[in-house]
Amino acid sequence: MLAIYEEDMKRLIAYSSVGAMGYIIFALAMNTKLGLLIALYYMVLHFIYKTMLFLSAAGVIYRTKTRNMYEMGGLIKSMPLSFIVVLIGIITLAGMPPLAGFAGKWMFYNAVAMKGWYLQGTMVFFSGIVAFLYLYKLIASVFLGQLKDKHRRVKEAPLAYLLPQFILVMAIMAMSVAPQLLLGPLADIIPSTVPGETLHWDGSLATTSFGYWSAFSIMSVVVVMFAVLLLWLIYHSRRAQKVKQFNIVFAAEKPFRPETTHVSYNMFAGYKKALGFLMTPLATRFWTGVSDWTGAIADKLRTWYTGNGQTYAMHLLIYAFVLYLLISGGKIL
Amino acid sequence: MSIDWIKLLFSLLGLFIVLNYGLLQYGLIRRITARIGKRIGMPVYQPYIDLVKNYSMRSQITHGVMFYLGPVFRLTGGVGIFMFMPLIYGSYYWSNYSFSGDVILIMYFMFFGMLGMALGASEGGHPYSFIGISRGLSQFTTVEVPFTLAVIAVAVQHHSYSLTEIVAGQQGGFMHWNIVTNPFAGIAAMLAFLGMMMAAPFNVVQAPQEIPIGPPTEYHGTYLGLMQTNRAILYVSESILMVNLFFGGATNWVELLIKSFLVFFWPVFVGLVFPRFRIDQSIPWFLKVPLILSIIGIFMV
Repeated sequence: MLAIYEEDMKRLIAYSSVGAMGYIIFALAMNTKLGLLIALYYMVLHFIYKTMLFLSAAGVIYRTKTRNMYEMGGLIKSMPLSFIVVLIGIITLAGMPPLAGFAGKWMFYNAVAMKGWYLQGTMVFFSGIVAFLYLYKLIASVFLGQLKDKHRRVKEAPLAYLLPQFILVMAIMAMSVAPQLLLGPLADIIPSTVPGETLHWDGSLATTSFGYWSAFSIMSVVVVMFAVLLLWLIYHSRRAQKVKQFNIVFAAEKPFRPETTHVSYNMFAGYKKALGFLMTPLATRFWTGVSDWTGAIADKLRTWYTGNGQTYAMHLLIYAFVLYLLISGGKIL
Repeated sequence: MSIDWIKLLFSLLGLFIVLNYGLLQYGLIRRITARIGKRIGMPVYQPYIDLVKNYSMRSQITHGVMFYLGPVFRLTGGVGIFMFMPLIYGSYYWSNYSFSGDVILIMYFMFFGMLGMALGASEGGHPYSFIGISRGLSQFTTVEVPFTLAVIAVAVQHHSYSLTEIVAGQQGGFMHWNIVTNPFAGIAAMLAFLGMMMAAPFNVVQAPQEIPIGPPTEYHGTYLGLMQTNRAILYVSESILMVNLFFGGATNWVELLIKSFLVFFWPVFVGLVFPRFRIDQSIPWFLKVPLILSIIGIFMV
């Protein structure tokens, strides 16, 4: 949840890795066949999409020379390919239906219902939707919104950055259309001594005793709908002219500075106000406490150094006396 | 994999019925709202006029292709929810494509439209869009927690995530409905439903007087038409989802429409009585009463 308030791009992605690790550990802890399968699946998937995200973030940072997300914005116009990669990455990470991430979420629900860990499962689920918030922040404040003046001449990331990203995008797409290609072999390596049941495949339809899900038909429905609507809209507004950046209706004024128009810094302020007390991290509180204590103790110790020569002479005397006691082993004479 | 064309035709016909029904329902509800405010209100067929008008307008400006994706994602999400929802219990043709996805899929399709809309709207670069989206996503995370718990409670009760089987388990009189057999989960889900529909106490996302309609601020003409279409489909679909989950489903169209209309009326009633919450009030609210109720509900099964 800390990721919601993170302004540094790479650190935000790193926080989401922490979340994914929590997912994997939770799945392992269930100790059922499905749980292990989820853990393995997420390890592969997480490797793929997190590499994508880090690579494209690296490309953006390489071009813009900053890591603070609120300093970017509107980069979709100059870096559309990186944008597509990040878009697919976050859809996968969030577990939206057509892409591969949904398989993991779906198995997770089934495993939770079989194991009977409802409350824990819901906690993990909650963290999953909180992921939406920071992922949205990642993509919106970097790529969407208003382009900043100093980034007007930014170019697309170099080919060496883009090529591996698109290879990974292909992998994600293949896994989305036919998840059995990956899930089948992974299910085979789970030892049969582990309790619980595993997935059953019927063509592209996966079933457990709780539910079922067919990646291929979902993908086809979504793709058909999506393509029809998008093409129609593009055709419909083919004569539309592209407006300038600030051509928006904003309280009868025309904004002129991107910094004041792009809502990006501290984006989820309302959330912080409502639930922020949960999220002041324990670690921060601990170290704040330690530093407070250190300060307080040092404050007391400081009073020894009065700046008075006689006090220092007294210190020396006490020191010599203590030393003498230590050497002599406690005997005064 | 062969495609059953007749079934596809029936699904599209169902979509058409639901679209018309949603539009009429919206008109009716606007009229009722107006009557409560001692106004006459618009005619019931006004949504049709709006729709035709919006679709016939040709936009002269564009913010780029990403901007189109907002309505596209939204409508795909709305239709996706509909396509994977069984409409009439016991009918092969009216069950849509519910055999290839269960209730989890439908829940995630809701996010799909939400996130897509958020992305498209922020491409417009309007600050109100950003504010609306940030509120909307924050509120949605907390709405989903009690709702998910309630859905899991129902699923565990019937030992299935399949909506068809959940409906099958509720047949035989209203004493078998989940709202009776597991009232806590049902009430929690109904409270969460208020937030899902973004009716008045929780409509700070679109907040008409404060941030002019929030995320869709920049959308006009055809884009707005697409979103009106989606609103008609989505609201009815979500009502049907609630009917399937807690009110015993339906065995024919009349029953389905009456039930979903009554379910849809619940947020309208609440919305007319209560004023709007601020976002930092609505988020803790969802984590108090509905969450506790849904936790009780899950321990009851």
